[in-house]
Amino acid sequence: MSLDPILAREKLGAVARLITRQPPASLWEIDTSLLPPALGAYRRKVRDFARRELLPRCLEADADPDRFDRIGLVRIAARAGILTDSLPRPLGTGGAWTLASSPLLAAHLRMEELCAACGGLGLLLGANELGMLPILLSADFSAIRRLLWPALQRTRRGEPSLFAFAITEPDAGSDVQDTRGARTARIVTRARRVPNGWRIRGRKCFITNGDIAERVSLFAALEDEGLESWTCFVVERAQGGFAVGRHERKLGQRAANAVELVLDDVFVPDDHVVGPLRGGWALARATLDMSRGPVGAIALGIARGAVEAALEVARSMRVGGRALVEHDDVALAFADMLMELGASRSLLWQTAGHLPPRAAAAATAKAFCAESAWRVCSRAMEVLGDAAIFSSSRVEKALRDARLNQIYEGTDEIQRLALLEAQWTTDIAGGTR
Amino acid sequence: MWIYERPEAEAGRSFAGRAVAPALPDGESGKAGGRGADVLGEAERAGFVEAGDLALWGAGIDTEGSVAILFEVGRVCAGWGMALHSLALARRLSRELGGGDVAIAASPIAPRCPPLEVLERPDPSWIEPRLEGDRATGIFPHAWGFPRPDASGSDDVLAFVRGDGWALVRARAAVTRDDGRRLGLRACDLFRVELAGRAEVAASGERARQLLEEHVARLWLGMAALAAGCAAGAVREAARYAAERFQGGSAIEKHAAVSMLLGEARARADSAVAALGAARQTLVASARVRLTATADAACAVTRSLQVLGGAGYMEDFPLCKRLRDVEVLRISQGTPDDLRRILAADLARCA
Repeated sequence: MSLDPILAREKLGAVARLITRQPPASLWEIDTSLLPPALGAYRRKVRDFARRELLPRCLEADADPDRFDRIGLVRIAARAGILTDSLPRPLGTGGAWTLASSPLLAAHLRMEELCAACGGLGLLLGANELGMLPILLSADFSAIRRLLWPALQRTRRGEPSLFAFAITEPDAGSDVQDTRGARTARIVTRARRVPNGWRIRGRKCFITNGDIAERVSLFAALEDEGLESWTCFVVERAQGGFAVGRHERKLGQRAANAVELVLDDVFVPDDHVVGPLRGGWALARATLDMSRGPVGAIALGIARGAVEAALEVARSMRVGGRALVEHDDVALAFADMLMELGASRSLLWQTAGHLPPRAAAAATAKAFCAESAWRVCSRAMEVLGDAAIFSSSRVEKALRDARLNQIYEGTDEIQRLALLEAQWTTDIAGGTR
Repeated sequence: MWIYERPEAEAGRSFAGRAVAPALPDGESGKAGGRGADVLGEAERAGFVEAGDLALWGAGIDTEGSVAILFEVGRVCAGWGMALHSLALARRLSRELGGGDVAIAASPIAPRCPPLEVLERPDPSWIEPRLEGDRATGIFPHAWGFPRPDASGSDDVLAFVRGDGWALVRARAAVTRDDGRRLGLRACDLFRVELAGRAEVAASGERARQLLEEHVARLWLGMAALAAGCAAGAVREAARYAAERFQGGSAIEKHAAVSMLLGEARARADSAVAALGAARQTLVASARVRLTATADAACAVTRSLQVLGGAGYMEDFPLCKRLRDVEVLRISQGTPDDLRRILAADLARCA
């Protein structure tokens, strides 16, 4: 008599079999089956792209990011529509049904799939959207037509024109992502009024893709005013006075460069101001609310990549006369990891239901997924032991990559403050007090 | 007495400052720049060498003293600490067997450490390296060792292999250094050791088993000490950063979130140091010390890194290296699950 729970169901009646059936499928397929068909197809498309184009390049890009042909890969992604599919045609290449189903969930799916192959390369491709977000969220159609449209058309043709996003400064990191910190933040990047535009002077640091982006959505305070005057400017790389400074040597996600931007009286014409003057703080916060979910998805993708890589090794490595994966303690460890992945994915998919995104939900998802990814990667390392510490295992790379998610787009601690700021004055369960 | 209050700790601090700090590996490349001879020269001047050999682990310096020295070296660079520790272990074993210039001691506990019953009685399904007649064959895929100038070649090694029970053999082995593209302990070399020829049996049976147990116990205690030192260094660096870095008109150490991180980091680092106080050269005691000390140390390091925010993630700051090193110390040569399995098996016997 078989005790296999699937086979045992054959003894049930036809209706009972029908309502309890569990056809064999991978966890990925089971989750995908929950999605609307257009999003399911999109998830499959991005996964296939990531496996084909990112996975074979991930170790090379991590080992020597300076020599790695990032532009070459960006071109491939552009031609595949990956850089523009967050926007509907004719602006981008996104499918109408995909975006109509849930644009935020599409972004979460995209970042999970890209980063399951490589956190660094996923960030390299995903950061472009972050750079475009302030312009899109400004709902300034004139700015969208002037600044985004030509770049998007070039990118769609396979000649990528990238955007970067710049808020962090040498003396103002976490505090420009939190209201209390912002009140006393020491910002140095300032814009001075000149005929027909502005002159910006200052420095921004840790800017992803700052060295290859043609335009930077950059936040600067107006001269002699505080952070409440923050305004979003689109700075053209070709402008005089714009220079790329220090290239950071990061622990992980190394395929995407983080650089310092030096602005020495860079001229920005009036038509490159995004949204209203002094509207930058609101735009920056809205951008972060929108981007934190996808950053959580980056963490989820990295963690999934670690589990996939560890499973691959554990299936082939023989220990004690059996494949490593057949040992009970190892199976338990993988179960722990899969539970973490499931919890993160559930939270992210739930978070994507809020449009516009809720600050508290985005912060919760981002922090939870980041911390979960670290736990998963650490557990994957434990399973493989010494075999995990080599870059060729891809697990140690995932561990290094995952650690950044607890820091960028606001540290875990900033996410907690954002959660409290958004919801602390309301009752958790609603109703009257 | 805390381990860092022992007199040997002062010698360890002085040695680490003179010899290890100038030889720190480059964070990016991991290259230590061929400073091995300098480090060993300073070890001799520090009194860690007796009769021409490293005197750690009971060969002049007792268990607690050895732990104290490695803790202090770990504060500066766990990679160099592991290099020194690996060499000292090989020398200790070699002296036990009557001497000889052996720099690598290989034991079959990587990538995963076998269960307690296999460590007592080698099982062919777990232990591949074996002795047949006067020939030893088999591969030790991961053996830590002091940096050597050549990437590959042959070398005299001591190796624990399966014979009739355990056997400790001295043999000429093919030794290949990894390419260095690994997570941490980059100042230390990691070798693949392949036995495929004549071997001299240095110990066998119960004597060999006992030597294996002591060797593994010392290895784990040293790794625990290095991890605790790594954590102590990380907490100090985080505290210094938090005192000097201002946000919102005050040092960030005054901010609640940073204060929580620092408090947790300190508690975990102190807990790792406290665990070292129970260091004994037995398998079970060392498994317990290593399991708790490395887990606490890893937690202390990652909390410390978080204090630095974006700067903590950059290789130009020391926290990155500490994070990489402490993770390797946590999982290499016996994973936390392996240690738990040994502790549980011992508990079952005692029950």
